[in-house]
Amino acid sequence: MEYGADAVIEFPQGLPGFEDQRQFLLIQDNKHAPLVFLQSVAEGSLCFLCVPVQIIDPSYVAPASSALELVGLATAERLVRLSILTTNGDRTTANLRAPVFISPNTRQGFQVIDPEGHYSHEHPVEALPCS
Amino acid sequence: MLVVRRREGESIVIGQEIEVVVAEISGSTVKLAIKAPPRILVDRKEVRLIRDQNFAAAGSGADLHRLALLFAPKEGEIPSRSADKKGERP
Repeated sequence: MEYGADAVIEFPQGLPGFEDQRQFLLIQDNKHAPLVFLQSVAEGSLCFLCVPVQIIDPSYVAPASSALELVGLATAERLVRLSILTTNGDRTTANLRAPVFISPNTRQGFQVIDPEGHYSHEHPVEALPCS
Repeated sequence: MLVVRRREGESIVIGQEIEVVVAEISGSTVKLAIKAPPRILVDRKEVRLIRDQNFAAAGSGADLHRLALLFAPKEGEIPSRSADKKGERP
């Protein structure tokens, strides 16, 4: 697969459980919209399926600014917010507890865990209308 | 469940190899220092939860088409995305 250097998102801390994976590609294709693929650069078989958080929950409120600042994300910035999907048989859930935040400016990404736990890490995904 | 009252600097031991020290108490937060062998994985609970969830997500072989359909507009419904106002102008 070919991609430009500008397509690479740096994850300075990796993701929990995948701390050594520091670079991911953000791939979107119309055929599978609104799915977004977070593909590891180093590990070809590692790809997280995501959807924008607002598709799962239009009223989603990001964790307190302190949690974002902790990982070096400016809260004023428009961040891409993705929820990682888990599929087990017929059941699909979305991780709203720890969304992946990506800064389009710095091209850095972080998975931010909401310490308060307002949202579920296994939010059930029903057949949702596109918003 | 065992409940013990400890002051700053005091500790508890778990088994032969693990010690949890109350390093600092400040307001509503407690700083704990954990001494354990490297093979014992020590995590904040929410980090462990997300780690396990990430493992599950990475290992789930999803049917992309079926998954994309989950988010597709229902039949007969006009997707709001295609209602692009720019396109309506003559």
